[in-house]
Amino acid sequence: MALVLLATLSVAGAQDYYSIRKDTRISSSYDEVAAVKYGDTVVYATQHSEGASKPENPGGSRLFTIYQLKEGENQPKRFLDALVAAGHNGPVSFTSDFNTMVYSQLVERGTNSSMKLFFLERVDGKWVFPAREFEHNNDPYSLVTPAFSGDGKTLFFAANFEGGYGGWDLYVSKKKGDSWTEPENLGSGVNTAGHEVYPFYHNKTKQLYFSSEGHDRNLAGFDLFQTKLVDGKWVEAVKLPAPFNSLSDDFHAWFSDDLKSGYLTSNRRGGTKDIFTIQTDIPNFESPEPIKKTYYTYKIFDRKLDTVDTELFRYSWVINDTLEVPGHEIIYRFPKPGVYVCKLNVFDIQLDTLLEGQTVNTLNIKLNEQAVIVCPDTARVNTPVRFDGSETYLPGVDIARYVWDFGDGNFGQGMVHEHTYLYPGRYRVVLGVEERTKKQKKNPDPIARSNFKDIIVLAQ
Amino acid sequence: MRFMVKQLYIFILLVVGTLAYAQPVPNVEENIPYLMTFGHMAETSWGDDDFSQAFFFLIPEEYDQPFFIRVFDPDTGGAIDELAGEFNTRQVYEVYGGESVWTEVDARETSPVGNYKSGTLLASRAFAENPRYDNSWYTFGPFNPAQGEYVEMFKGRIFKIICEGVAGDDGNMYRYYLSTNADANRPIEGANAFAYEYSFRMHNNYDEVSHIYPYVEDGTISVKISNFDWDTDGNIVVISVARQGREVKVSGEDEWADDELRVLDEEVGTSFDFRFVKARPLVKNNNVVVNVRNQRGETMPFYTIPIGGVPKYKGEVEFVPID
Repeated sequence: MALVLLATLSVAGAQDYYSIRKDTRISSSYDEVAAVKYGDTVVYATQHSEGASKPENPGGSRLFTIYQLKEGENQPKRFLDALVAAGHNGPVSFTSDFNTMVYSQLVERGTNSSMKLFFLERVDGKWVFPAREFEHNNDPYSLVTPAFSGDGKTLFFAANFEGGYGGWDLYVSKKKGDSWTEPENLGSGVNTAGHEVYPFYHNKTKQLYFSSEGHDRNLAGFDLFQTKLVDGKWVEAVKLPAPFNSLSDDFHAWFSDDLKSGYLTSNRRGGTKDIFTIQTDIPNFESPEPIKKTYYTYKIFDRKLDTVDTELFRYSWVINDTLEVPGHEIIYRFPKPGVYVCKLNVFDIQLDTLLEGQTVNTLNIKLNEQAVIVCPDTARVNTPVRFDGSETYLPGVDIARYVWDFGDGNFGQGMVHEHTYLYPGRYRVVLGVEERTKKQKKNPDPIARSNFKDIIVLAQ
Repeated sequence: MRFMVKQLYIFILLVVGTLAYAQPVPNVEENIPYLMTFGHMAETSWGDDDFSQAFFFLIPEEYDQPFFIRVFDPDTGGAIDELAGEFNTRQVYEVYGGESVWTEVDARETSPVGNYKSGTLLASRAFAENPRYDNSWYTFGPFNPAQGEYVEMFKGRIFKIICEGVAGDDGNMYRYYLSTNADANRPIEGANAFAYEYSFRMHNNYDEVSHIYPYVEDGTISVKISNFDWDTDGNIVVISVARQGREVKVSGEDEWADDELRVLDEEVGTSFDFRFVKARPLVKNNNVVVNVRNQRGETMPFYTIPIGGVPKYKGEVEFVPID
């Protein structure tokens, strides 16, 4: 367990719309780790637990206990008194419905002690004891830092089983009926000769976040990485940019579904691990609409003209009384938005006369008032994609900011933005446009318009 | 039937009643030079299939003054009529009114069989070759509108005139005019004329285009168009509010040709325009007979003043955006 708490260097990136702030209500001079959301509270593991320490603890360190802080309050309290055991407890992970939790606990049997995983179920709002032990707990090995998928059917954790890549490796087990499958090593894309710990699975993006000290050849200490299961394989992990990673050790990240808030565990501000809140000024895109394309090219025809007799008649379309295009069915590209009167001219070959034109209609091509995303329909992973919002058409709106949600958990700002997708898939890109108004300071949600477009990202 | 009556009523009141001011037969818009009836001894290859032609006149119920039926060039002789050997043809015109003049089923048939001379004979006159009537008018009447058969669906009274070639083998070319005046052509406002088979002469000029206008009654799903002895003289094209132009099968010498058309929804309650365009080089003195039946085999009327006006095709423009 102590391995998880090591600290080394980190790498900086560029996610300047995120802010990381130490949560001083939680963080203490002791270690606090792995904060996750539980309803309107945050639950985490801490050594700052009165009465939970045990002097004869083999490591001589204070024990970890699971604590909870309710939103709007300043005083954390124990999550469950019954979980204050003789050894370490925590971290903990919950299913999306908060009715099942998994946690790690130090269990001493004779002279052996190891970390094991346990499940608790919540019935009628109360956690029901005794806890059910994970069937693949395996003395003398330890299983730590568990993380559920939202549906509780997939369990990630770190373990020091033999046969791994070295140190702590990440494993996955799946629930089949009432039992769990044999833990499976996540493979070389994730695990290294160093330690990999603190997995967190983000349900919406299906991305796995974890901390590793091995991907940088053990030069940068613990940093946060992300990976995704693609075609049955966890692809090569990619390091998160700053401010998620720092020059210190960064251990655990938890993100909300929209990735606009979360918690980070890091020792970046002093010697102990602390809990940091993740926040962003990316506003909420409420009900973005699909981008309506403005069409300039049309097939023009007379739908009632089921039989075309070119021996009797010669057809042509006259556009705005100025341009004549021969044919009864034409494809024409209009040069720009505007009103176009299209009339079918029928020349009667037999009578050698132009018939009185009664087949006429008006086409009004106008720009749709919307935020416009110009980007390719398809792209490839690890290849920068240019997203252009310059064709946004919002007459009367003084645009203050272009905000992008690339659909893979990444955001951006600026009229034009380049983004690189790491994983193949279909992503919904949202462009929100903020309006500059005099009342902007009073307006908590200044988004004027948001529209989306889907992009398909293919493997390399 | 009630719906059909109502629909006709609407057309006759709102369309015909406001637009019809002239009753020449053929009408100006038809651009047909003459009606045609041959003496019954003629070969049908000259263009007449049955040597008889019936026309109905509709007098609106609001009209209560005497009227006349005038015939132009009623005899068979002179420059207008078609000579076969020497003129030996006698034509009889009979004007009928009274009960069953129109309601009798045989009266609405295309051939002079059965009780096609239904009603009360009001006037009759036979014409042999007579230069006095060449290129001039003969007047029947006066007639009292009350002598006609009142038909509720027309909101008017119906008279019938039958021209028959009772002797000889020459072709009689003639026209009618429904007039308020015995000596001049003065139209009756709101009147109309119609027939269930049209026998007529084409122009001797391929620049002239003739038309007839069968009316598509409610309930019509398809029509059978029949033409006789067209002599493959150009083509016949059907035009409607929903049809730009569709050629129909044309007949050759002394034969009938039939063609069928599916009636489009939009065409119901309007008139077809049958357009006759002559071929080049010119086929002279071409006579043709045309009739139309619906899917039940019932004859359809040709109004000289087309119900709903001359149909003009009006398409629907579709714009389909393309990426």
